[in-house]
Amino acid sequence: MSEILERLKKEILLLDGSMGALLQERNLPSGYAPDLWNIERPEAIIEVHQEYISAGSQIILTNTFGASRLRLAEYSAQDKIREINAAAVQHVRTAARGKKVYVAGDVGPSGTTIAPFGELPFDQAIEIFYEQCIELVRAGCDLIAIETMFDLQEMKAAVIAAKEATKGKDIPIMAHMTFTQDGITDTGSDAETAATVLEGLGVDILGVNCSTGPEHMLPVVKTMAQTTRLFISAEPNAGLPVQLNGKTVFPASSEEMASYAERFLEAGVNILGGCCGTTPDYIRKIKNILKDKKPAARNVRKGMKISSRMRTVFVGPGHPFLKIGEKINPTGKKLFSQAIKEGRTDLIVAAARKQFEAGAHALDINVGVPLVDEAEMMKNAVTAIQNVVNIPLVIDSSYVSALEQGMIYYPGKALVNSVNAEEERIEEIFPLVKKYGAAVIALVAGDDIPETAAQRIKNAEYLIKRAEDFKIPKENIIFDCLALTVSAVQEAAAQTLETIRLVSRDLGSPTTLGLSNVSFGLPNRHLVHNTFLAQCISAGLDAAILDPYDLEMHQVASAASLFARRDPECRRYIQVQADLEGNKAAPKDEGPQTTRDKIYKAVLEGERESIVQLVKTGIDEKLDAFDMFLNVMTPAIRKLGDLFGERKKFIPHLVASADTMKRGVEFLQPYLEKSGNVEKKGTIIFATVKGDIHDIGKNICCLMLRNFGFNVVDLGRNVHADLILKAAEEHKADIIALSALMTTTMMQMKVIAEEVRAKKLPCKIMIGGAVTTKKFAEEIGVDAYGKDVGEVVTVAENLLERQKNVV
Amino acid sequence: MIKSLKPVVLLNIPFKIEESEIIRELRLPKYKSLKEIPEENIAGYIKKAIDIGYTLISGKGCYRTVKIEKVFKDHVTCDISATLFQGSNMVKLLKNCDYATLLVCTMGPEFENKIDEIKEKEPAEAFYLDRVGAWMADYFADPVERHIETEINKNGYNKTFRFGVGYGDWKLPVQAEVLKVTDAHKIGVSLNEAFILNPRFSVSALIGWERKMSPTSKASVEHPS
Repeated sequence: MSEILERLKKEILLLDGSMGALLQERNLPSGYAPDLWNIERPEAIIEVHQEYISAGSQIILTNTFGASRLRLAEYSAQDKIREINAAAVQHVRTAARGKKVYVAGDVGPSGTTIAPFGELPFDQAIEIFYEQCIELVRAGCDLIAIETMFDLQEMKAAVIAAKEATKGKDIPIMAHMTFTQDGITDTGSDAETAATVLEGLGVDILGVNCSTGPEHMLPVVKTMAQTTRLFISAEPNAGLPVQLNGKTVFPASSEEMASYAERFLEAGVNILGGCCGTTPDYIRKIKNILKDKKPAARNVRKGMKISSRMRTVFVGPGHPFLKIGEKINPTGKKLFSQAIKEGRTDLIVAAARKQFEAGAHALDINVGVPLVDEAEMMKNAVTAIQNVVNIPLVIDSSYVSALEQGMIYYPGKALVNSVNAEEERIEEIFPLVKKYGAAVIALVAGDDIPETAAQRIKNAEYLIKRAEDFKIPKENIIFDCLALTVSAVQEAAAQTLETIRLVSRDLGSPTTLGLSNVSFGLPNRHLVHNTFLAQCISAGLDAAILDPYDLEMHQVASAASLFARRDPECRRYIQVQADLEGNKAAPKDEGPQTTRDKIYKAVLEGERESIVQLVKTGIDEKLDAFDMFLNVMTPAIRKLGDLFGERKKFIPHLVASADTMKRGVEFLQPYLEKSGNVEKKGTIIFATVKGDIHDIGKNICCLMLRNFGFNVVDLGRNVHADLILKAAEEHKADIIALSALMTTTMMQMKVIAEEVRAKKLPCKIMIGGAVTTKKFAEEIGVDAYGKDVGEVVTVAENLLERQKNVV
Repeated sequence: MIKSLKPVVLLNIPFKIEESEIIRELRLPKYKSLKEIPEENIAGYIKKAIDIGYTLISGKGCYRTVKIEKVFKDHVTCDISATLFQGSNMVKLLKNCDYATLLVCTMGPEFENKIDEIKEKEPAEAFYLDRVGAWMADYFADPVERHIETEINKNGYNKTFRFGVGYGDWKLPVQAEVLKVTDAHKIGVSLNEAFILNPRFSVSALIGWERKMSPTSKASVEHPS
C-alpha cells in the first residue's frame, strides 16, 4: 500500500485550495487556459503552490485540470500535453523545496460529453484521459486526482485510463464527482450511487469537489461515508458565486469555510481541501482546526451493491429480497427474437418498462439470438433501457464480447451473469468485472453441475480465491446456487436449499438462483416455483431471477421475507397487500342487455375493441343495418355530445367513441349501400393550411363529421390554397373547413377566405385549431369558428342549415 | 470557465412519461393517475400510448452559450450574431444578462412517424399518441435546462426563465440561425418552409445568464481548483 494511503488510516490530510483565484491575482487573462502557464509563467504556478504548502497543504494538485487533448486544442496546444503535464508535476516538486508533499496529478473533464449520453465514443475518451495520465505518471506524480466529473460514464473512462497508466506502480487514484445543491450530479446520480460505482471501479479515494459550498457538500460526504469504507475527500467551493465587475466572485470567507472543518471530519472525511474561491488562508485555518485529529469511525451499510446510473440497490441479509426480472430473454419468444434480429429495441424497452412497473428491482438483459451480433445488440439494449428505467441491470450473455459491450455502455455498477468455476471462463470474465467495476453472478458449477451442496461450496470457495487473484473483493460476488428441475431430480432441490444455507453461513456471501427452472415440465408451475421460493428465502436466499408479472410470487416473497428478517415493521408486506387490493376491480353489474343496448353502450363508452363483433352479432340477429346506424349508434354519439356539453365527458371520450362508431360504420357500410340508405348530409372539404404540419385535431374532426353522415374530403396537411379551392369546386362543397396550429400559418385562412369570395364559390367556411379564436374568425370574415372537436358537428350542421336556407 | 461556448450535444436523455401530465394534456380534469379514471378502456388507451412512447421516444438536446455584447432598443447583439435576438421581448429578457444559452431538444422522429403511420386507420390511438408527444416535446427541455443551470450557477449568474422561439415578438424565422449555431443537425432537427421544427415534437428556446446582486467578496476564480 502506498505511503499516503497508510497515513490516511490514522490522520487527516489537507489538500490545497483554488488555483484560479491566485492566478487571477497574478493577472491570468480572463478566459485564458491556466494550464498554459505551466510553460509560459512557471514562476507564478510555483508561487501559488508554495503559498498552499506554507499554509499547510500536504497534497498539492498539479495545474493540469484542463491539460488534456480536447481542452488544450481550444488553445491550439494539443501537441503540448507532455510538456505541460511534466512541467506541472515538476513545479510542485520545486515548490515543496524538499518538504514532504504529495503531488496529485490533476485530471479534469474531457471537454465534451461521453457516449451514450454524449458524442465522444467511450474508447476515445479513455485514450484522451490516458494521454494525460501517463504523462503525469511519467513525470513522477504520487497520485492521480480526477476532479469535477458530473457524469459517471466519463468518470469511468477516466478511472480506467488512470488505472492503465498507473499499472504496476504504487500510485493511488483519487476520484471526485461534482454534485448540485440537490445532492445529485447533473446526470442524476446520487451520492450513494457515485460511491458505489467508484468503489466498484477500484479507486483508492473518492469524494466530491466544486459546484457547491460546504453546507450542501456535507450531506453528500455523509452519504458516501455510509456507503463505502474507502477514504473520502472533499473540496467545497467558497459558497455560491456571483459576478462582480466581470469577475466570478465566491462570497464565503475563510473563517466561514473553516467553520465546517469539524463537521466534515465527523461526516467521515479523510482529506479536506477547497475548490473555487478558497485560499491559502482557509487552508491555514483548517490546518489548525484539524491538527492531530484522527479519522472519525464510520458506520458503513453492509451488503453487496449494484446500481444504475441513478439508483443503488443493496443485496444481502437484512436487505429486501432482490427480484430480478427475467423477461428480456428471447428464448422461446418468436416476436422478441425477430425484433432482435432486426436490431430493434422496442420490445426490449417495453419489457423493461413492464417489469419495472410490475415491481422488479433489477432486470436481466439477455439478447442472445443465433447469427445476431450480440455485442452490438447488447450495447443498444443497455443504452435504450437506461433511458426509461432507473433500476440496475444484469448483463447476461455467454459471449464475453457482449458482456463487455454491456459493461462499457452502462454507467452504473452492473451485475454480470455469469462466471463459473471453469478456468477458461474465469480468465475471460474476472478481468472484465475488475476493469469495469461490476459485480458478478458466480455459478457454483464447473464443467458440470455438482450433485451435492458440499461439492458446490468447494466451487464457491475456489471462485472467491480466484477472484482475489484479480483483486475482486468477495463483496462483489453473488453465488447462483443452481435450481434444477424438480420433476427430474427431487433430491436436487434439497441440495440447492442446503447450498444456499452453506454459502450464506460459511462464506458470508449473497445468493441467487434462476427460479423458473425448478418447475419446468409440471402443471401449475407458479405453485411449484413459488413454494420453492418461500423455502429458499427461508434458507437465506437474497435474490432470484424470476417472473415479475406473477402476482403470487410478490405475495410469497413478501410473506417469506417476514420470516427471514428482511422486512422490519412489515412495511413491504403491508404495501404489497395494499397494492393487490387496489388492483382488484369491483365487478360491474351489467344486467340483461340486448345487442342494441350493447352497441349503444360500446359507442357511448368508446369500446373500440368490441364494436365490430357487436354489429356483426346484430347483423346475425337480423337487425337492420340502417336502424343500427341511425337509431342506436347516432343517438349514442349524440348523447355523448350532450355529456360533453355538460362537462361529464371530455375530448378523450369523444375521440374513443368517434373511433368506435367509425369501426362499426365501416363494418356496416356494405349493408348500408345494399339497402340504399347512404345519402350524405353535405360535402365538406377539410384541410390543414399551407406550412402547417399538424393534423391530429383535423383528423378527429373529420372522423366526427363522417360519423354524423357528412361526406368529408380530407386533403391532409400543409395544403396550398389553390388545391383547397380546386377541390371545393370539383366536389361542389357545401363547407370548407380549415385547421391551423401556428401563428405563422393561420393567416393562410384569410388568403383562402378572400379567394373564395373573389371566386364567388357557393360554400361556407369554418375554421379551428389551437391558435384561432372566434374574434379571428370574424376579423378574416369566415362563416364559423369551432373551438374544439366537441363543437365541430354542431357548427357544421348549423352552417349547412344556413346554406340550405340561402339556396 | 464556460464549457458551452461551443455547442454541447446530449444524447440518450433518460425520461419518464408522467401519467398525470398526459392526463392534463388530454384535458381530462380531476384525475391525477390512470387508476382514478373510471372508464377502464379510456385509461387503457392512454396507458397504451404511454407504453408506445417509451419504446419510440429518444430524447436528445444541444445547446450553446453566446456572449451578450450590446443591448439596443429593439434588439440585442452577441459575439456571434447581430440578428439572433430581435424584438422587445429579447431586450427585456437579456438586458441584465452577460450571456445567453440557446437550446434545441427533440424526442426524435420515430414517435411522429408512428402517429403518421396509424392516423388514418387508428385515429383515436393517433390522438392519444399525439398528446403524449405534445407533452414530451417540452419535457426534454427540462433536463437540458438543468445542465445549463448548473453552468450558470457555477459561473455566478442566475438563469432567466426559458423563452421559446416563436413566442411574443421573437419571430419564427430566427429558427434557422438558432439551429445553425447549436449544431442542431447533430440531433436530427431541421426546419420546414414555415420555420417549423422537424421532427415537429421538438422545441427551441433561450435562457439568459442574469447578473446577481453583489454580496461581499473574498476571492474570484474562473475554473475549479
